[in-house]
Parts: sequence; C-alpha cells; structure tokens
Amino acid sequence: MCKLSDIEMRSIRNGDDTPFGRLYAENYTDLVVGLRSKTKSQRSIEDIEDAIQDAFFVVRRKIKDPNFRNDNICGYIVNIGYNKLLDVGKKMGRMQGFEVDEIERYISRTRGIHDEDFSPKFSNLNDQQHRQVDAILKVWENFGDACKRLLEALWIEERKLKDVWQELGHSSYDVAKTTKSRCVKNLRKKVNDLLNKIVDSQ
Amino acid sequence: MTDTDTLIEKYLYKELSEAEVQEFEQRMESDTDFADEVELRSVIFAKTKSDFKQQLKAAHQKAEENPIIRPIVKLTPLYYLKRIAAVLILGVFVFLLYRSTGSSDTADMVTLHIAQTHTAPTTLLGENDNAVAWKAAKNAYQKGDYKATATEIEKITSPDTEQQFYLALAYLYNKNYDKSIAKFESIIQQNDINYSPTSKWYISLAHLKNNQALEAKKYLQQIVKDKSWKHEEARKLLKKI
Repeated sequence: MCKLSDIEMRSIRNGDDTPFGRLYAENYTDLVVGLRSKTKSQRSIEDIEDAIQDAFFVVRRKIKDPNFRNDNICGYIVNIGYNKLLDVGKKMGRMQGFEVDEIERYISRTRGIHDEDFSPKFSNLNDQQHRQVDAILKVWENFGDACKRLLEALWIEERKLKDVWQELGHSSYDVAKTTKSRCVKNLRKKVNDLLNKIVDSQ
Repeated sequence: MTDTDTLIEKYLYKELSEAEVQEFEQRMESDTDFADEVELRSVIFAKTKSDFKQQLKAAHQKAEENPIIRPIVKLTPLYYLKRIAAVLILGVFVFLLYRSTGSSDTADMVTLHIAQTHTAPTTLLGENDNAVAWKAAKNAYQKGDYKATATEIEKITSPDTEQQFYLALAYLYNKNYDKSIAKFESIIQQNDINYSPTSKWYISLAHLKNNQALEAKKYLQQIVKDKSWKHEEARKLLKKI
C-alpha cells in the first residue's frame, strides 16, 4: 500500500529512514510505470529510478512538516520525479556555489556502490574538487562528537536550531547558535589542515 | 535577510526564489563564513542523499530477491484451520529463532550499514614501494575492489594505523569476518583517536555478521556510553539485538 503508517511517520520524524525502503520496494513497479507513462516512455529506466529516488529524498524532508498529508504519497512522488526529469530548478545548478548533484555522483561512484548504476563519466568535478570532497568527508567521519551531533541534527536530520538546542543540552538558543558557528569554523579548519597535509606530502 | 539555514537548505533543494538567488549569490561573495558553510554542507548533503538512495536500492534489491508469492486458494473451513495452525507453528518457530539468533531486522540493518561503505582514504605517501602499494590499494578501494585493496595493503611493510584500518575494512567488505575482527581489535588496542572509535563500530558489524551478538553488544555499548562515532545507530542496533 502506498501509505506510511502513523508509526512509520513518527519513526521518520525521529530520524529513521528505513520506512522509506519499505515504501519504495513495495511500490517500485507502480512508481516506475507511473512516471514512465507521464514521460511518454522517453526516459531510460535509470533516469526514472534516479528521479523517483530524488523524489523520495524530497519527501523525507517534507514529511518533517507536521502538516504533511500522507494520502496519495505515490502520486506526490511521481509528480516530484516528473519535475526533476524536466529539470525544474536547473537554473540553480548553474549558479555560483557547488554542484551538489556532481558531488553526489562522485561520492556514490567512489564508494564503489553498483558502478553499473552510474554514468561512465566519472564526474564533472575537477581534481581539486575531488580532493576537497574527500577531505571534508574524511574530517566529518572523525569530527568531535558534540559538534557533530549538533551539525547532524541541522544538516542531516534537517531540524531547526530553535527546535533542538534544548535537546542537545545547550543553555540557550543564542549559545547553541554561537556553538554552531564555532563548529562550522572548526570543521573548515580541520579540512584545510588535511588539504595542506596532502599538498605537503605530494 | 533570510535566515542562513533556510537559505542554504533552499539552495540545496533548488527551491530558491529569484530574489533569494540574488541574496544567496551576494552572500557567497561577501561573507566567507556563509560560503564555507555552503561548501561543507553541500558535501554532507550529497553524502546523505547518496546514502539514502543506496538504502532505497538495497530495500528494493532485497524485495526482488525474496518476492512474495500469493497463490490463489479456495476458501474452505479447512483452509482457515490450516492457516491458523501454520501461524501458530510459525510463531513458535520465529520466537525460538529470535531468541537464539536475533531478529532478521538486525541482519538487514547490519547489511545496510555495511553497504554504506566507508569513505576512501585520502592520505598520500612519498615515492617508495609502500607508497605504490598504498596508491594501488586506494584506487582499488575507490573502485569497490576490496580483494585487491587487501592484497595491496598486505604488501606494505609496517602499515600505519590508517592502512591497517582500511585492511580491516577490506576484509569486512570481502565477508572475511574473522580476519576483519582480528585486525579491528588490534587497531582498537592502539587507542588512536581517529581510528579506535570508528573501528569499534565496524567490529560490531563484523561480530553481528559472524553471529557473535554478545561480542558485538560489548562494543556497541561502549560506543553508546562514550557517545562516539555512530552512537545513535549503535543505540538502534542494540535495541534490535
């Protein structure tokens, strides 16, 4: 059934993504057929799958909104997937900043997961960007616990600082805000130190 | 001015309005702290998305391997009796199995955690034989060839902690759990701040794969107690064991 139970919704809001696996696996065929017919079968199965998975990722965020409506979730996913395929928001990809899709492709590829799922083109990032991404991930893995917990809550679980500062043991919202800023600076410094170490060793 | 977190989140999800695009670009140029946060968060966002999509693929793959077959049956009283008897027998069996080996949920969680392979190494060494082997190991790891990764690292005389760590990982991904456990144990004993906590997580997964729940519990409890790397995941795993 293309619906998340109340328990699953609560579980997702608490940071557990496993219910999405169930929803994806059980409705995979319907979702693929739905999106394929909407695109008049003009897209490859890989593109369709990728767009559906992107749409699930968007839903993962939307579901945290207490007003999220859990009826016809598959229809919602197909619509988001369709917009992804039409490159809605493509203009954002060209703006100043970082090519998040390219970084994602690079990370998935370098982790050696299902190489056949990815385009033969490795990624459009240059060598320096590869090093930067590697360094950030490396530092992140071993990053100090208090800072990591705070940044995980904000960046991965996508919760708001005003909602988590107490839970994370900060004495006030302002203290949490200052701590967050210090954590980001500390992370940046460690990444720069690692990059300098790599350059020195070459 | 839009709040920093909201602005970056909208950028990552490609939801900025035209006015917000201008604000974003202006802040990227004038505010280094903002630009730093965008770069760091973009990478963590991409990794989270990649992990999430991998989790979906793994769930689908598992469902494909174990399809649910629904035969068409004639609904008679005997049919219902048979179903009730089957459910009772199955219930007892599952209960016994759960008590002896842990739930299949645990096995799925462990498999998913292992599928989320560790980031490739970034350290480079000078030009010598060890450097050649390490470079080859790094390349093999990036390609997901863990057998070659292990072979190359085994060539290194006196491997450092990082190299030992990737050797242990390569054993784990090659399903050579005994060797992986031995190697991770040795790394944990070295008390290296960078690799000891991480190794505790992976040794727990290796023990669970080896059906050694008690040993896994010991390390998972340490992770939760120390609030070290993956402590949230460790807490969830402990609940399932």
